[in-house]
Amino acid sequence: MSIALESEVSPVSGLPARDAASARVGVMDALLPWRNPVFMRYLRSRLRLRKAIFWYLVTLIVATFIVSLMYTIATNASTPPDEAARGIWIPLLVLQGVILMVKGTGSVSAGLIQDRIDQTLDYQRLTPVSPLRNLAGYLFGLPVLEYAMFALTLPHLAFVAVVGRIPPDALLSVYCSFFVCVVMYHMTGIAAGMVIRRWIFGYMLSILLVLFVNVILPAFVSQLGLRFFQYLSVWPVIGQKVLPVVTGAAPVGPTGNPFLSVFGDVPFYRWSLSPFVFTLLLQGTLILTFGTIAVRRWKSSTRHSLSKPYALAFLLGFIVVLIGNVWPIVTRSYMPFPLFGQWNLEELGEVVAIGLPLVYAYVVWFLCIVLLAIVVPTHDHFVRGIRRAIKHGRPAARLWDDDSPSFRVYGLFTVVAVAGLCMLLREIWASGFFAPFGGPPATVWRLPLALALVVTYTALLFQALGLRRAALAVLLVWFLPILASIVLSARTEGFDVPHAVVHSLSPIAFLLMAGLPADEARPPEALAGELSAVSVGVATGFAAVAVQIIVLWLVWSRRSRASYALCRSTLPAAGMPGPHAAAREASVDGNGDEWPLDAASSTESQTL
Amino acid sequence: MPPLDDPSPARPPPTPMLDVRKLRVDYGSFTAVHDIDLTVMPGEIFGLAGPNGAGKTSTIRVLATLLEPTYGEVSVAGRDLFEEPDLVHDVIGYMPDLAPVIPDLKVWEFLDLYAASHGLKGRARRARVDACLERVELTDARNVYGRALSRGMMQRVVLAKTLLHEPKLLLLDEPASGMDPIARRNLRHILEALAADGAAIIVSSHILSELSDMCTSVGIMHRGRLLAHGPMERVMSAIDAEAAQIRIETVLDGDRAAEWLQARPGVERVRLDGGTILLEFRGDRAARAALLRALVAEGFDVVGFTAERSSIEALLMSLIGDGEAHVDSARE
Repeated sequence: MSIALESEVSPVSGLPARDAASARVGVMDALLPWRNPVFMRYLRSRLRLRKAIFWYLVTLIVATFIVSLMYTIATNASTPPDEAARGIWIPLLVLQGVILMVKGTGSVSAGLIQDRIDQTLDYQRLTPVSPLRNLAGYLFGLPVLEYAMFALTLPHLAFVAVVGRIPPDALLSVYCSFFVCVVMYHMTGIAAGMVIRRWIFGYMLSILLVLFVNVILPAFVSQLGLRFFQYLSVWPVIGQKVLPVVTGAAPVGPTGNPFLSVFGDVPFYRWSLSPFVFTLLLQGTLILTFGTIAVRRWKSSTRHSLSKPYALAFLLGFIVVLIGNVWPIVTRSYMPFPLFGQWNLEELGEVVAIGLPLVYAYVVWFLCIVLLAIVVPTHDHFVRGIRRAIKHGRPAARLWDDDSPSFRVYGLFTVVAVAGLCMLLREIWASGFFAPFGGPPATVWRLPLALALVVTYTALLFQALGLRRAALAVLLVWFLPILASIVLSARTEGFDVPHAVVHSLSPIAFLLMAGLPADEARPPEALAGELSAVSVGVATGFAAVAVQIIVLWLVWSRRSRASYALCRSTLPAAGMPGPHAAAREASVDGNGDEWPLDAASSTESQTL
Repeated sequence: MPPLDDPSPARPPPTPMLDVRKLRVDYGSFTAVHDIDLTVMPGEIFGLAGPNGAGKTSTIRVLATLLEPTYGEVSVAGRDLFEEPDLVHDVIGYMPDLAPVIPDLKVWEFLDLYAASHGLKGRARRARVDACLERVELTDARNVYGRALSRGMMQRVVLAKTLLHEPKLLLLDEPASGMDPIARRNLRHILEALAADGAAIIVSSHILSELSDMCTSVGIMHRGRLLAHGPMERVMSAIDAEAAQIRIETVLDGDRAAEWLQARPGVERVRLDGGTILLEFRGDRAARAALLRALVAEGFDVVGFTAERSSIEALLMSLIGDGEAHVDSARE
């Protein structure tokens, strides 16, 4: 029997009865922002004129200054008015980007963290408002001041569009992509706000992330063949839509400038996608991922940010995009973008054969580190999972549960990472990039094996030691050997076998060595010594990582057994919470504290 | 209040508003709540007492769906808390310890936000906000910003927020902390009115006297375990049977009365403070009444005879022994 929850509630004395019909949430309530209570909260608090007037004035002054100064300078230099107005578009976009992407993202993460610290987020969690509606409220409510500031730049944009005779479709595409990008960054801020504990860290991290995606990735990382990272920023759409309007150039393909290139289509396996479409797809995927993190953390602050299946699917999707972008290169079709500054495919033989698989291995390993850090349960969660499982009559937590140390799932991470690498190597081989080595070098089998070992090792490291101790191990085992070998090399002014042995003790260096061609290659004579050292280093690295895996497995097994023993000794038999179980509990509790067996009152509740 | 220990065979037993079975909360190897069972009926005001660190807040946060337990079953009005949390949210009113108010919203805006979140619209929402403000006697402060409120006023504003959606189950974690005596009395009246209308209320506190004034039943928690629970009077009687402090006020002859009392059976540690005698008495309510009768029959002019409520320390002493209670009292 249950009491009707949503029906007529008995009136509370002194208060008017609540109208049940008024409590119904309609479709319009879910869609219209002004019917979203969280959005309305920020509309009231962040747009209060007394506080917001400063930012309004700053925006108006800066935007007017930029537009009037640039227009005056251009027209004084006899530039036609329409061309002069079009030239203002990019600086105006930068200002709008700073307002919405940088300041807005910081406001989102800082505001959410502050609500978490104040515990007012808990109030909102306890309302019947759905997580998605709450998410929408925070997503558009927290940066509402920045949206208002953006709105103040619209008259300037209208001037640029009208005087500059900018085609409406270009405006539409650019601002569509701009807002998707803004939503993605704000979603990053929400995800950071749900995870990070201090608002200042969340604020700084969000802003740094925006700068990283817009400056570091296009300038550096995209040069390594990871071109698709560039589409996380708004630059490709600016390159495709704005530059042709401003400069009159045709979209022929990217140039050396990573920011203001006139972008052509995006290579993706055998297809070519428009930068606009590819940007929307990529950013949409990230919005979905950050949204998933936010909703999961909204439902429970102790949940992992991503579930194991989602993390695995994310890794798979990342690898598909990663390989898809370099597909025309590894199949010797054409060069869609410069690789390591080179445009000529024929001159890139060794770079493609050796460099691309190594870049792939490092990037995928790095992503595995991030994803495994998210999905590997802490020891606390692991113990909780055991207790819960025993209580429900299961031997252990279920495979895909957050609390489960699922080595089979970690194994799938390894399989997916290595399968992608093997696919890449197969295409490189089939396209004849290994010909200069007289056939496939040993890297063809060494690198996948090394990647499999380091991914497995990473999972075990996190599982056996926990994240804090793993961080210490990373410092001592991953970085110290590299630093030591650098000192040794500096002393002897060379790289010999002893250096390689020390160097390869680090999994980071081991992966590099496993990806370098050794004796079977035909390198210049001057490098022969170093390559022999690499062979020894690879063997040492294999042994070192294998030994560490065995040690970590033993540590984990011991810890796991101890945890199971502790949980079994302190739990009543499943489904049998009778007096015997209570008596057993009475002897030792979860803390290992002893309780008097003879005092029943101290272990079981007395009903008086 | 429904009869807790007098089930009528003619009627089916009422559905508990809250039913907790084997609830456990672990923080790593530390067990904060250890397999507790608890039932709270509609109309019941249940006090959750215990020293700091007893597991009260963890229990309440689990019941409010803000903390995932290690395991356990909780049903609210017959619905599974963990299976249907969204449905249960509309029934629960939660007031946390040191309840915060959003600093950059005015009091009415703060209440309006949560009234809207609970689906109230238009005039009904405004009326509800006004009524709740009036109920906690804060109508004059409706335009004050959250950051300008005192601790006690914040507690009252959050109490008003908790009442907005007429919850059937109120979870109040140390609700009276920071409140002045008038506000505390007001809180008691509000809770009594809610209980009279069928709401079930759980109030936690580490001050037993605070709970004894307003609760109909009480549970004592210590180290994550629910050591005892039952109707307030029975729990208090059980404790009083152990040792109760009695305050006697006389007009004259305080010294002689103290001497006379010292010689009575069950009386210990008699102290005289002006015209007031303080003593510890071991005996139930009937024995206490007999002592008063004897005192009056002896010719002393007694103008006051009060059995002071036992402290949480005395309560724990009676349940778990002297040593443990002192340790916890010191921690507190």
